[in-house]
Amino acid sequence: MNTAVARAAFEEFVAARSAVLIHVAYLLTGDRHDAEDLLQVALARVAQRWGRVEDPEAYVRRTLYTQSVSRLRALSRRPRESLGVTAAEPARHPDDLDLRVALDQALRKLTSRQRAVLMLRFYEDLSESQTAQMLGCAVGTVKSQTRHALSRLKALNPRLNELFEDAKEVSVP
Amino acid sequence: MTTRFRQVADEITVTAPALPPGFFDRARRTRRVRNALTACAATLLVALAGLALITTPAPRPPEIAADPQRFPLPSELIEIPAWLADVRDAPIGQALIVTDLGDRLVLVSPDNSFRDLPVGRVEHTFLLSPDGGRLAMTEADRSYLLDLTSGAQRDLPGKAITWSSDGKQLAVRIDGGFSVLEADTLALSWAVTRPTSANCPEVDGIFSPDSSRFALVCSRDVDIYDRSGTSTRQTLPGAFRFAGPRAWSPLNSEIMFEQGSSNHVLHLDWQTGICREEDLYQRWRSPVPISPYIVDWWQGSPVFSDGSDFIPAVPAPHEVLHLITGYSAQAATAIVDWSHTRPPAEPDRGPWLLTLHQIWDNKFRLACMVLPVLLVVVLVTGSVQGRRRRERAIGS
Repeated sequence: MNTAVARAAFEEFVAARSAVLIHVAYLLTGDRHDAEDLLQVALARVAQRWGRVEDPEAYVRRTLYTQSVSRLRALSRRPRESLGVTAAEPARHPDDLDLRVALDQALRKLTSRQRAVLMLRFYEDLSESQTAQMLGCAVGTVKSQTRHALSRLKALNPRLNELFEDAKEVSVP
Repeated sequence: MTTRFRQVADEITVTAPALPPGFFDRARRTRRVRNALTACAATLLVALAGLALITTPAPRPPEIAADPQRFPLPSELIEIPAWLADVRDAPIGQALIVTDLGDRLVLVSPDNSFRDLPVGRVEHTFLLSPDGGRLAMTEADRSYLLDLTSGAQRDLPGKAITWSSDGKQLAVRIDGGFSVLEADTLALSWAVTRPTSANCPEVDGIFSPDSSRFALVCSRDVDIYDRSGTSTRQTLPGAFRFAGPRAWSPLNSEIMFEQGSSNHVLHLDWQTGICREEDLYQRWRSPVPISPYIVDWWQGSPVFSDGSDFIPAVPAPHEVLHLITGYSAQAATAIVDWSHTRPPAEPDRGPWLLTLHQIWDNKFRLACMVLPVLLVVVLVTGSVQGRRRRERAIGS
């Protein structure tokens, strides 16, 4: 693929999907700067392979999840580069706002692996085996991490338990 | 499905960042640079490894003492290790024993260093110098002198026949006679031109103990030459051969001959021509070998060899080295202490990198070439399949 064409296609992809992807990155990291950094890494990787990756968004999402739990990445000291300015948040219903704030704060108290497992299981709606495959760990690890994450959320704020009431296969202790 | 969780999570809003200018090109360039650096590092590593293999300096051989020391032979050489460094790459300095394993010679130093000298399966003969510092080799149609202190080879003008007892002269057979060469320079010291005879296509020769004379035997005729070219001929009562390279007694008066398949030797007083027979079994008792082959003299008595074992006659006949049956050996007679043996010790195979030369030079050359290629093929195939698997997973 011609470089100029590839660059244009990449920039079009970023313009169209970066809003969704930064959201996922933020939920995985719990920090705006870390989210931007994580997304930058994922976008750089897909840019390097642009033209050879069939589904760029799936590739970026997979990179986001794997990098968010990468120990090597956690050890590295990357200089932070601001990619933009956060816009003001829209007004919400008070109850929803309380729950959103509670979830936002609670997610930051989880480990990166617990956040990744919660996101894959309950946001991306993947099965335990798919989650394990995505994160490169055992199904048992996914189960235990899910259990620990949910119990931790419940301990932090009991109201958060209602968010997972429709998840039949998961029992929160 | 956890719809409620998703709804609330979606409400946590973060604005999408703007893409920095040049992000795409920078990412591509980073990858290209990384790939180039990786390729350079791999190339450099392979080149350095190859360079190290090729140009590994030969280790400094041990110095040979001016006044030779005496060393006992190991009591046995049963399990000779494979994959030894080549003596041409890693000179041994001084060999105490050289044994012939058919496709290679194994040299053993006084301090138990082992080295190989590949000879293939072609017809070959070897002669270890008495001081253990040189090896005269004849392979197929090539004769050369290998210096064991430097690994250097010098061509010889003919097949090496025997060393003088002091190791300073080497007799080589050349068409029509023998040449005695100075071992240090290979310069001609003196020549022995023997009249050709249809009855004697092959003749043997030995030095006198003081290296001043050279004796030839053919059938019943014994010719003794001195440096001036003067010869003396004696006639034996039958067809005999010299009883080994040191068949000339240290007292310089007698030369010993053997006839094969007997313990008897014939003593010839080379000045008077008087002969007398002796049964060595009666004199030394067992285990004096049949067809006595004298390789050295120790405390005035002969040291016999049956090819693989050495048997000093004093204080009583005893084996001092046990070798694998069928293999022959030579010892550096000027530095061997024949009175006792030492237990075999853990062999030093030489620098490990130089043992690779040996592997490369020998029968493993094909494996050395094929295995890395196979390894690369497996790695590339695995990498391609892994990439396809990942892409399929992403696509699904």
